[in-house]
Amino acid sequence: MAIEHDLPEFGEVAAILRRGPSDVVYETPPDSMWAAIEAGLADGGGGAEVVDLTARRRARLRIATALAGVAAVLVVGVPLALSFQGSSPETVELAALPGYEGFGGKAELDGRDLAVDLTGVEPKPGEFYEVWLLDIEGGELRDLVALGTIDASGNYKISQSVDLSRYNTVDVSVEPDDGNPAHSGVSVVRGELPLA
Amino acid sequence: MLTMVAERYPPIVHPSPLEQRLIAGEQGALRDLFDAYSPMVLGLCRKLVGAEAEDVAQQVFLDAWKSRGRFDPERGSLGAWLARIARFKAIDHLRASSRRPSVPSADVGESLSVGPDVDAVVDQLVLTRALEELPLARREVVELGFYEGLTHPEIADRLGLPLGTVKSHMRRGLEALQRDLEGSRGD
Repeated sequence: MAIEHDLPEFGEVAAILRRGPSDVVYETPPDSMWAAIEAGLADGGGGAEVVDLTARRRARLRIATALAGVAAVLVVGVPLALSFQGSSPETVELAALPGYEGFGGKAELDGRDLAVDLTGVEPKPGEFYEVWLLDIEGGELRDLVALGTIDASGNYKISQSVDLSRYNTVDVSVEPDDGNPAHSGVSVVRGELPLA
Repeated sequence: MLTMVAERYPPIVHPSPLEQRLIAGEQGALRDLFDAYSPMVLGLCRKLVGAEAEDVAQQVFLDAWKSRGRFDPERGSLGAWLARIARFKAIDHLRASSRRPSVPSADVGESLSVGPDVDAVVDQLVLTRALEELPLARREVVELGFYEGLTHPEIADRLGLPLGTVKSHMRRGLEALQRDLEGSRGD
């Protein structure tokens, strides 16, 4: 079949999928089950094994924690000389990421005002788009801030505390409407503002 | 000035709030984990060990709490991690049952040969759950490809998407499923 010919590295996943959906039936547990777990914890079953977390995980946790509230995020950045203040507007094209070909747009930064216009976007029920600024160095994400949701266009005021010489990548993600403020990990377009 | 940016960055993986609370050992995180995943875990255990499912399922959650520092969101979802624990708890339970003198010999043989079936059941559940958690567009593409057996061009035609978009959705979707499959297995 064409799919397997194109993606041979997923042979095992493909074979399992081809068996169809699981027939496991989800089952609501009786109250006694939680009571037994609590009893197990009281008997010493809750002692955690101590495992060192990698620096990378800590970094990711720090990022995710920062996302818990936009207000908290916006005071994290170190105020520096504002590279773009007073300069003429800079416009960058927002390029589609893999899987979202046909999407696009542009972002215009004028001082601390960011205007984003998207093209080709088609939000599905239960999903929405969100605009972020990413701090990427050497291909690695260091931090990010949320600017707000967007339909097809939006205007955003960037806090003075956000260092635009670092947070120079405009990112638009597709987010499930699940109340989780963290980045979904699914970006549709990005564009890089020119560094000063 | 218009600047074209062609660079690509990998997807960003962030722990969910529940994942963060669990790793941090916050009070209440186990209860929330139980509320969110106990129907799946209990259903899986029922399929694997039958009448003793509740005993095994509660061991899964106690073990999850005890080993919470080992959970790594980059290696798969919470569901895949719990399925991994359930996989090994069920195998341990079946092996222990097979050693009990009261178990009839026919059941012993069945229990000893049940290993591959445990893996098959867990693998299928992990991928079914992971598929349900994909963004809608990716889920549709993978389901049409594997549940309905459509080719890439047929999926593109059905969904009205460019062929390249279908291929990208398929690859990204399968990558996510593979990550959960690996996360549900041993180190």
